[in-house]
Amino acid sequence: MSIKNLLTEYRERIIAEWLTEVERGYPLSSSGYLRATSHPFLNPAGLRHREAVEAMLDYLRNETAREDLTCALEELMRVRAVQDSTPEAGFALIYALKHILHRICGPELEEQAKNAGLEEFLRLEKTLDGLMLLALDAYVRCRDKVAELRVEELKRRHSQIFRLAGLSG
Amino acid sequence: MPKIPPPAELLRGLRLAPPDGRLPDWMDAKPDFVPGSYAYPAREDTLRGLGFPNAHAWNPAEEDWGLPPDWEDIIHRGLKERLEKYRSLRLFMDICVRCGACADKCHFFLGSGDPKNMPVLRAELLRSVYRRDFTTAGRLLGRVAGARRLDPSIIKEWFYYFYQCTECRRCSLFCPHGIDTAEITMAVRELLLELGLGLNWIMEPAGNCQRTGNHLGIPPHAFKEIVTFLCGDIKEITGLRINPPINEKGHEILFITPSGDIFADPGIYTFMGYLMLFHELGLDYTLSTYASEGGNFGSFASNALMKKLNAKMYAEAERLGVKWILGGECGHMWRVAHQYMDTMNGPAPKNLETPRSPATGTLFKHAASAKMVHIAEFTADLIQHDHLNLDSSRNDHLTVTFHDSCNPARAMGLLEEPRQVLRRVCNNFVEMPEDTIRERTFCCGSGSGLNTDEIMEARMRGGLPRGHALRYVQKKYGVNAMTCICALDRASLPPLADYWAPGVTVTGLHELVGNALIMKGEKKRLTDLRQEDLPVVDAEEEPVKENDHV
Ligand code: SF4
Ligand code: SF4
Repeated sequence: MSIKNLLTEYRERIIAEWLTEVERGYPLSSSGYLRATSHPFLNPAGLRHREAVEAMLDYLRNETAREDLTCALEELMRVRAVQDSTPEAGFALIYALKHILHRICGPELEEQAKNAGLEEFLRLEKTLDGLMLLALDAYVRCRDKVAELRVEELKRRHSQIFRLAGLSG
Repeated sequence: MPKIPPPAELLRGLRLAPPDGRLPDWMDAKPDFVPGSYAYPAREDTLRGLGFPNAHAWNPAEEDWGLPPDWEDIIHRGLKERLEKYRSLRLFMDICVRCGACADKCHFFLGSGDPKNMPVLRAELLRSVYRRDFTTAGRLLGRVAGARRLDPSIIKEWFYYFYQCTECRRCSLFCPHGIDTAEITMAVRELLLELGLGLNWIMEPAGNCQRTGNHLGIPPHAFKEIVTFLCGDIKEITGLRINPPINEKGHEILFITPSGDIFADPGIYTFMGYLMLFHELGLDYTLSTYASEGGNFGSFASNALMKKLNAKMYAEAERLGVKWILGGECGHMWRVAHQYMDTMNGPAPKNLETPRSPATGTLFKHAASAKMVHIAEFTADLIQHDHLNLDSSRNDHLTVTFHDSCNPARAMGLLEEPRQVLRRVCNNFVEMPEDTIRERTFCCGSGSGLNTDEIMEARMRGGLPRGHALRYVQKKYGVNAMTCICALDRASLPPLADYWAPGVTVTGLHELVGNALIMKGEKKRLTDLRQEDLPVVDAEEEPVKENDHV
């Protein structure tokens, strides 16, 4: 089976296992946190995780545009960047996807490599690594943004005091 | 080479789960006081100045919080006293059936995934102690009955989680028994203060307010100077000179607004909007430097402090001999004025009368006792009577949505009035999704004294549900402005919008009123109140909107 077909066949299982894995990372293993409801506005963290993992799988299957993937990853990283103060926790999400893929599709991937060579598998690995870099990039930008928000807030809060002191227009 | 931990271990990071993967009971899992997770503690001299006991220097990141030797007695006595005084608290301790209806209703839980931010578990942090000390079952059965003995780690847990509750009351809306976790939070914050534990961001503004009349501690002459600056800006924009009376006796109305409207961006534009409206109406009013703060940070700390800071309103209304009080756009100011003022500091001084709009003659009967009207009610009445000359196209560069701030929405039911005004002063108004507005609105995540910058991450977490809904209307309808009638929101929503929906600005309602208001004798307006160019009115084609589709 081609990797594309594999990813289609196991799609739901991969998503479910990934969400379970990610939930375990929350305090007290907050089970159900990400899956309590699929309502579009009442569980934004869950929704963003789901949309990101779907976008990643679609991208691996060549079925989504790069911009859509980047957008979904960014929306997710925006959440993770204020939930985890350590980048590796945000980053590990993608790493976890790779491991789950290996775990679920391992035998088929091996078979496929035996029959058709390693090329397709290596391409998959390369794309997964690329996803990690994209995620890291988004994560770091969000953290920078948080730092910027603090400075901007201070300026806004005292705008007229600065004006009074002759420090601004 | 160092061993790289597998992803599952990295993910779990980190905080609470033990390395063997077994999960601790919630009672044993304790928060980690890492920088960014807690707000700075109140300073010793600030607490002393406000008359709180056991003021001392301490650091949340250190093991020893310097609790007074008899801290256990203090908490026990303090809790007993409050259980007797507030029947609601006692009820809330007893009647929770753990149905879980509130569990996923709190923005802090939705943003953090931390179960202790579920309202039911947040309350349980106190309830477990209550059971041990005040119920027979708890005393006899202990942990089996969900009871636990006080120890210093519980005090730390309280500090951590009751300062991650914005007292927004969203949870209470969904509780079949009407349990209001905000009241539990208020009680625990009081208990913590008895041990000398408070937040700097709450206590310092409260201290300033007690001393100088406003949260920033700006003295009267500087207050006047800033008002003069803003009137200069109005002159620049409209060509009209306004000189608002300050501290003058013998006027009909005392106008009180949160000081954030006078000192901070973007509140100042809302303040300019008020002054322009009053000028146009020829309102007989005065500002006050003594009551130069509508907000009440005391309400985030203790009932006694809330009462003390609030007392200035009636005192000043009496001294100046006005007939009624008009209040600016604020949230918690109104929770206090609407729900507590009358009981705490009433009855209102004798010179006050039931407010009547001098412009339309409407008698505001709902304010017959408190004698104070919210400016959104006042202006909605003007709109209903078609009393204002408005050019709503001056707000055409904005596609506006409205954020229901928790207090006006849930504590006052002020839902229709701001919308009525908004629909009249701008042409592009879009609601956020139904489950996230009106009574069910999601909090800004920074209310009740949490809008301090050292916990920006936590605030952004708490702001996720609001930010998510905002992002949706931004993408779908090109919304580029979010309006609110709360000064705290005008401070806390700009970073929220900037983070979750970059490109959306935050405005007060009366900023948009000021933009649209056609004033007698004004010059042709070329800019809005922010002194940004208005869209070219005569141009053939539609003005381009600054939408941000990422
Ligand atoms: S009052 Fe608001 S912040 Fe506090 S527990 Fe309830 S929903 Fe959460
Ligand atoms: S909804 Fe009310 S009764 Fe149910 S768990 Fe929450 S606080 Fe308890």
